[in-house]
Amino acid sequence: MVKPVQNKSNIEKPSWTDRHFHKYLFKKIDVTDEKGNVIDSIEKPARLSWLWAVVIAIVFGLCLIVAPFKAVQWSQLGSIFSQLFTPSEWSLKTYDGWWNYLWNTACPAIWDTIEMVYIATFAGVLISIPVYILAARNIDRNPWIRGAVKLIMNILRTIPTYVLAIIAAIFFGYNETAGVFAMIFFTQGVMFKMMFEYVETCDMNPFELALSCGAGRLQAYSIGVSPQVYPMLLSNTLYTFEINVRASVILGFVGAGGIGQMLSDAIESTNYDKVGAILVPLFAVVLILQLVSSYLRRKIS
Amino acid sequence: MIVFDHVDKVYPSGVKGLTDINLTINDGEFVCIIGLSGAGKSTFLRTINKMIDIQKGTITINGIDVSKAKGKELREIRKHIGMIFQSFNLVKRSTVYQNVLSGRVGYHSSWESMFGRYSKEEKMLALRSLKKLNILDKAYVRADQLSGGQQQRVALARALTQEPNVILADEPVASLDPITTIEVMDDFKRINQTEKITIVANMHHVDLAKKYGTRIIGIKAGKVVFDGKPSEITDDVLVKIYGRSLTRNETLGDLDNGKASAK
Amino acid sequence: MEKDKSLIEDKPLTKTEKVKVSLGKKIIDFTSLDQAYSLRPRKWIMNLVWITIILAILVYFSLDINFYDHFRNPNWTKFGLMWKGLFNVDWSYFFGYGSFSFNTSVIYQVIETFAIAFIGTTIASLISIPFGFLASHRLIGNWALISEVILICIRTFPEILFGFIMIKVVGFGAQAGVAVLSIHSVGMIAKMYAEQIDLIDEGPLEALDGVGASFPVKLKLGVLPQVKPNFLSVILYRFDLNIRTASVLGLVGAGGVGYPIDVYSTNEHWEQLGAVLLGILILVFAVDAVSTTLRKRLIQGN
Repeated sequence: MVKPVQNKSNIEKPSWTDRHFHKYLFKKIDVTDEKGNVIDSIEKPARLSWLWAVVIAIVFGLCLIVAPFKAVQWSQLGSIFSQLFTPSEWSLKTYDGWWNYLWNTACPAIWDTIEMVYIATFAGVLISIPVYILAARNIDRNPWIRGAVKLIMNILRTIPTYVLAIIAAIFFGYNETAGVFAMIFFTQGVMFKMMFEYVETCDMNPFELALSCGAGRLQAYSIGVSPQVYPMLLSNTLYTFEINVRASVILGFVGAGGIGQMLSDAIESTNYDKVGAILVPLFAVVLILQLVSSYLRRKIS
Repeated sequence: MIVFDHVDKVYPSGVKGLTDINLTINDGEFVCIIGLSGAGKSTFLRTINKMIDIQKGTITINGIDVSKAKGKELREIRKHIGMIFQSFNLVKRSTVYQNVLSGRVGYHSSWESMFGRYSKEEKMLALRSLKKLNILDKAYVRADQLSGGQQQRVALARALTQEPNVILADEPVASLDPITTIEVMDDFKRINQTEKITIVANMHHVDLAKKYGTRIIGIKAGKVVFDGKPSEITDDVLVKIYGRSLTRNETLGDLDNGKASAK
Repeated sequence: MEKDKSLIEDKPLTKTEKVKVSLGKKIIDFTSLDQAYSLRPRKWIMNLVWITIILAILVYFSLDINFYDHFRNPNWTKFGLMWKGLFNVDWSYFFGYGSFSFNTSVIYQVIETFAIAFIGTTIASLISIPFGFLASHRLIGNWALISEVILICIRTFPEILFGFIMIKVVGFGAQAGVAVLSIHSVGMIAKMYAEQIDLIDEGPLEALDGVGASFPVKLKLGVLPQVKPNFLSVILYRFDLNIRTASVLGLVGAGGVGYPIDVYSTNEHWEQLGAVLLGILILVFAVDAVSTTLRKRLIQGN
């Protein structure tokens, strides 16, 4: 059913702050002629940036109480970085050993991680499609359903991935499946936010047209709106894939499988050469992924 | 046959959109509805396929009460009513062919149409509709690459593919230039005569309505103030509908030989 | 194009009525409806191919990581216990009374996390200004590539690893987190700065050129006013993200809420875990809400 559009007047109502603090927010300036008589007066909005600067400085100061600066030992930093690429006597022993580790241990683990991310992203995106359709204002008229869905999705997005991973790990055990599930839930939140705003801005005309010739709401959506949403969907899926790859490293730290697990083991045993051997392919993969993803996304738009 | 019986439409704010409409539209008529913007033309049109609800009275199409229909029944009714919009309402990224074919959605259940399986007859029907409107050569071109007039033709082909009994047109030529307007109105006329489809169309321009319609309905403030043949429209009637008499410039301009003169 | 008068009959088009058709790049003459039908592009084949490939990969991958085995014995009891504990939040831990001092309470940790994110973001946004300008193709031309590469490297480096390293360098606690955030955020903030700079309108700059302004003046009057709201928006967005990153850093010991989570979940202290989760949720929600409102007002020009 189509409701006719009511024309609301475009006069802006002054906000709460404007009404109560009007005296401080606006400066009255009198326009005078040559003799000094006032012929007109205007109001100039006062510049508040100094106020913001003060606020920020105060908050900054407060924060420093909680986390005061300490001396940084830069030399340590340098030494650690150099250790990343030098095989040490206690673990990998030789350069050959280092490369060996890189190719035969680190890379397969990274591949495992990518597999995890692929499954999670694909499943997550599929599941999120009906969800964001439900939540868009122009498809689903019920405000209660919409509000509930938005709330749940917001929670899913706000919970840090590793928390989801821990919860999943308790259920499934500390393995990759837990990680996949955690990422699926996280993907929901991320995709949802990006997609439902987009759907609301879509051109609803073909949707209306389909409705008027006898289609159900679902049909009308898939014929009218879906072709418009499709490129955005693909683009966001790629973006989510990227995010999930980065998240999977963190997930590994809490034990949900993938490269993060190996990384955390290596760090905890201070085998920095192993860390370096893992870091190099990881870095390379994330970099390549980012480049490919942004190229594809630009092509889609 | 469409019958309006004591139809009232009241908006939630209390404003009356339509007041006591009583009329009958017979099969094969070409009805043109004129009136000021906001007088109720669109509302009137959209109550016919229940895009807008009515609060009192009934609207029956061939005996079936549209105003009380819901769900499957409503879809069944809407299947046979085609609608043309001012802004064409085509899916811009899809080809003309896909757009026209999508007119058949009413004939399939939800799941079937999700995967886009249309039968061969339906596809031939779509192509035939395109040919009838002389736009077959653009069948596989993306819809947004066509001009306004061509897009409206595609919309019309789409409506034809529904095999409708009635075509409703909401300001179909309002966004077209004068020459394309004539072409599209000619198409409407042709369809009305050769396919024997009833056409109910809103329009701004009185001259167009007079030239193409077999029956003119004038609506002012939600009430029918004129209902009769084009020849019966005099200046007095126009004053009743629009509130004052119209100048020559406001009635579209010179329509001699189907060419609109420049203002 | 001549108008076709014979509508009702479906005659094949004669030679004089040949209609030119464009199918992508080929121009084909349709000689009949049947031909038009047979020449229709069949999109569904490509879609089917893609879907099959994706599904095949999906199945292969899930077998590879033993996805289905892990489904067999989920730990229902532990799971149930966990949920029970999560909802019985340990308030003494949350607020810092009873057996917990304030310095170890959840609220303190949350404040610490906020502080880490705040300081880190502020420092990063200041450092990013020169970096952003250096990475902007508009202002620097092709030399900007160098900065861009540096920024990309900073961005791709996994934060947790960085956190670990910083802990070794600066010591356990919040300072490590601040250090990591300050440097890591530069990667994203500077890139967005550069994007904003590249997007600015030439018009005001040309006008300033016309009145003979020097480079610093052009910068202040032409560039800055246009980019300021967007810069601020970027900073707020990054602050939002940094709160989450800060809690992740906490996981490895860089201060804030993350550290206890690992400990409590391994030792199954669900009530404490619930308290921590509650704290995180509230923090992120609050910051999210404030940040979104502020960003909306920025866009509207307040």
